[in-house]
Amino acid sequence: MSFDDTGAAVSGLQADIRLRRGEFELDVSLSVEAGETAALLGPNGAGKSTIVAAIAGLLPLDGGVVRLAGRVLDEPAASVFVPPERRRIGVVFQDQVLFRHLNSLDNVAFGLVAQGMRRAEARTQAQAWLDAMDLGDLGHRRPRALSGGQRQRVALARALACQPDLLLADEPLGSLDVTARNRLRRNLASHLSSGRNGGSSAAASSLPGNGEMPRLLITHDPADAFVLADRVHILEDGRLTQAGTPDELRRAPATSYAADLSGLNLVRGTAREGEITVTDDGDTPASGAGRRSVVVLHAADRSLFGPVLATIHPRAIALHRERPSGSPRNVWRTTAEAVEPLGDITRVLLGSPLPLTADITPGAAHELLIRPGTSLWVSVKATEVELAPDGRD
Amino acid sequence: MGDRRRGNRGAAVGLVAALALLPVVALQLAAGCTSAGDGDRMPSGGDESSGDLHVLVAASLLPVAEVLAGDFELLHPSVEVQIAGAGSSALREQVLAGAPADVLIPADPGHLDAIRDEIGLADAPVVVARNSLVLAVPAGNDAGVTSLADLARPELLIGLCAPEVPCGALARQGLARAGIEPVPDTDEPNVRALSTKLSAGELDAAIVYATDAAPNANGGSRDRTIVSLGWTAGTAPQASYAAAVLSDAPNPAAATAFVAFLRTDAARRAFADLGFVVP
Amino acid sequence: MTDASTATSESGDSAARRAPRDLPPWPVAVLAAVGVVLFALPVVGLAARTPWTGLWTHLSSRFVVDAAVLSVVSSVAAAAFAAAVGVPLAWVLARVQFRGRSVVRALVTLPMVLPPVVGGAALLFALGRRGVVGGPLHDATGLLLPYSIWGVILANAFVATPLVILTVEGALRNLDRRYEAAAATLGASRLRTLWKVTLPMIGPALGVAVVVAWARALGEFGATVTFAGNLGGRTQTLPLAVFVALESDRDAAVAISLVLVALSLGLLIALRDRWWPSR
Repeated sequence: MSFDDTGAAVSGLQADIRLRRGEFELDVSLSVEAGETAALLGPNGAGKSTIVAAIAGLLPLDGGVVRLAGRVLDEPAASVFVPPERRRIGVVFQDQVLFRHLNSLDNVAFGLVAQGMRRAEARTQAQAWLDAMDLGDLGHRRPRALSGGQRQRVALARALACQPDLLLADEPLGSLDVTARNRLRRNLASHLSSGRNGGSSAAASSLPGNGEMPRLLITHDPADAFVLADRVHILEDGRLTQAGTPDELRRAPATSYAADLSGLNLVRGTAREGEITVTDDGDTPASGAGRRSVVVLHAADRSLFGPVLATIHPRAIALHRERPSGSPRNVWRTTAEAVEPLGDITRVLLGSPLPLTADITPGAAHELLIRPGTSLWVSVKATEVELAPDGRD
Repeated sequence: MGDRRRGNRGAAVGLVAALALLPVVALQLAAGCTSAGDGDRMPSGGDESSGDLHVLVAASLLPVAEVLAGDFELLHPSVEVQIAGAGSSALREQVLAGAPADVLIPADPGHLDAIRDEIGLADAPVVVARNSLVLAVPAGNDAGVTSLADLARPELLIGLCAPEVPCGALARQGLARAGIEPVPDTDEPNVRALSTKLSAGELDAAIVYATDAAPNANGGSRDRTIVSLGWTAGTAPQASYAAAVLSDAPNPAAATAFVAFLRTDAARRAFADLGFVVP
Repeated sequence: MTDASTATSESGDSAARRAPRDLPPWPVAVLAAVGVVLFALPVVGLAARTPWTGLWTHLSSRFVVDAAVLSVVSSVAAAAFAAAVGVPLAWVLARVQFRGRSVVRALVTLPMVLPPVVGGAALLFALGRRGVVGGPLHDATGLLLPYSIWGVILANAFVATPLVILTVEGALRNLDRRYEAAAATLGASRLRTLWKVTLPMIGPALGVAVVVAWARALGEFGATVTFAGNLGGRTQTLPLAVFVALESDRDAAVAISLVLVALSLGLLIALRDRWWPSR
């Protein structure tokens, strides 16, 4: 296959990117191991798109080096620059950027034909990719006649069909509405992880060699990063401020931006009349291993039925020594697993039955005498549990 | 002044005007309206020659017409002469379409017949000048052209006016009389375009008006780029320029005075200076 | 289920409301009507003036048939040339930053502001027998562009190509560069990207550009007559035929104009749905 199997060090991506665009200066070093899914998480204007362009070869570096699968792709000091068409990097663009004059099948076959495959054979392979994406019967449709989620899957298939050495996904969910976003996030997760855990899509894993391919996901949405990535790099104002597993970032965010992002609680469950039954099946980020407890959350939004993704902001979680009286609908008893002072807030990681992150003031933490193992009551107002439909079937 | 300069663009502008006016003519004919209305036609002053005088002339007359207009204005300070030039048939179309005009001087008197029939002329047309056709070559005469017979040499680049325009029709008649069958490489739609190609050396020989090859052509300010060899076979064909006052001229007094002025010695001298033959 | 029912009710709504929403506000309607009248009136005028009874005699004459054939051949060739040269030039102007780009752009748009006659004369001075380039070319090879169909095509292309360049450059600038970036990341060479992505994506604009260029070439007069001359069967296109016919036979001129109008209207209407996106 395309990747070098002498080891992870050469088949992964090593990028040391130095770029100056006007006033903006980018200086970033990151690497993605073979088989790893990394996320580059940062606010708008942090330089994410510039990094995509630099790695893909759409923007030459001013300094540094980009190395992929043992090849140097860009190194100004050595006067090396490999143009994008010879980099073997599959890019899933923001807003998909599908060729609107071609149908889905030919969009997916485009790269194969460009690389010299005969048209008929390319179409056969493209059809297999569409099948793997559950788009098997939409091959004749032009992008305009597809839904946002379908377009996104065609874009993913198009990028993967060439068996690239790296998959670069720039805000792959950015242009979708909440429903499609959540559904596709699940779908993407299964494709990005296929080869690691066997994959939820048998067809996808039967397609050639994407298991060891490094994947870099660029996003401003912590939900994407924390659900999809093994390792998250946080980019702020042209610099990487922190990198680590989602769990590491939660425990010790280095900046207030990281603290804000990494503390966001994402809970999957099944909604019915505003009651969300949460079964912790290991999908939730930072969940401890092996728990199978059940919690029922109450949300103000009673309109949704079926799979939902509930979001709870860490500052919306109140902690108490005694069982609180009054209005909060969601009250349960738990234990503090970790307490991290983060400057003007103190982060408390809560344990069973529902692992959540709560941010409270240092004063409150002191008053409650919270230490790891401290028994606590948790209360969350129903209005603070935000719901979005989840794409789980 | 500006008007006269604009007139210099000649025939092409005339065509545009004529094409643009065609539908207007058609509509007027369709409506049974054969001439423009008679209102506001009277000159404002009581003086017999004052106000604006609109003179439409054949394109080949433009240089001399400017000189003549200046001379006329010296004699009649209260008259402002507006000269416009175009191909003769374009002139006819403009007048028929209702363009304001007092005096009309086309290169072919035949055009005046149509106007007499449709609009009317105040007096019989008066021939004010004639223009002989000549065999002309570019300066240098690289092709060694000596006589009209050379117009039948296929290896030379020969230009004539199109048979549809006066200089082309007259040239063909003259050549037929001399028993010469020309092999033109282009039938230029007007004599001005023909002399442009000739003076640029893009033709070896052409038949143009004597005025186009005269020493004073182009105001005499430039080097002579066209050389006349005369008409080498008998009498040269001639175009005649006849002036006529339109019966519905807005300024009939000044118009009549202008036509009379064209017959004076001063005017005849001006014509002769530029190569015209005066009657 | 929910999705499907929502979609149905939405489309039902829009169908019910389409009629009032598609009615223009009255000032728009009035001005649009003025526009239609402005362009329809000349056609009406031409039709009203057309000698319908003798039409076939006029149109089947050798002179008209020759001109029509030459016009179609040379205008199609000029449009092909305009596309072949104009698209690459537009690409360079839109995509390559270089010193003097604005000078080049100004240069290629010059034929649009230059009076065509002047453009033709400039071509003559450059490529004619005595031209800066044409002179040495003629001396070395005997090749002569004026007075030939190649001259007609070149003159037509000279005025038509800028239309392709400007239209295509605009379309290229409006095209999201990421489509080309996407093609590159999929391994497509730059030429393949141009051919398989860029050109198809600007297809409608390119189509419009070529059709407009063709129409411009079909009606071209000034540059053609000045550069290529006018000789029936060799360089006389329909507009030139109209021009000379206008000098002698107005009926013939109107009849030929009608051929031009019919040719261009016919093609533009036929291509309407193909090139102009219907949405």
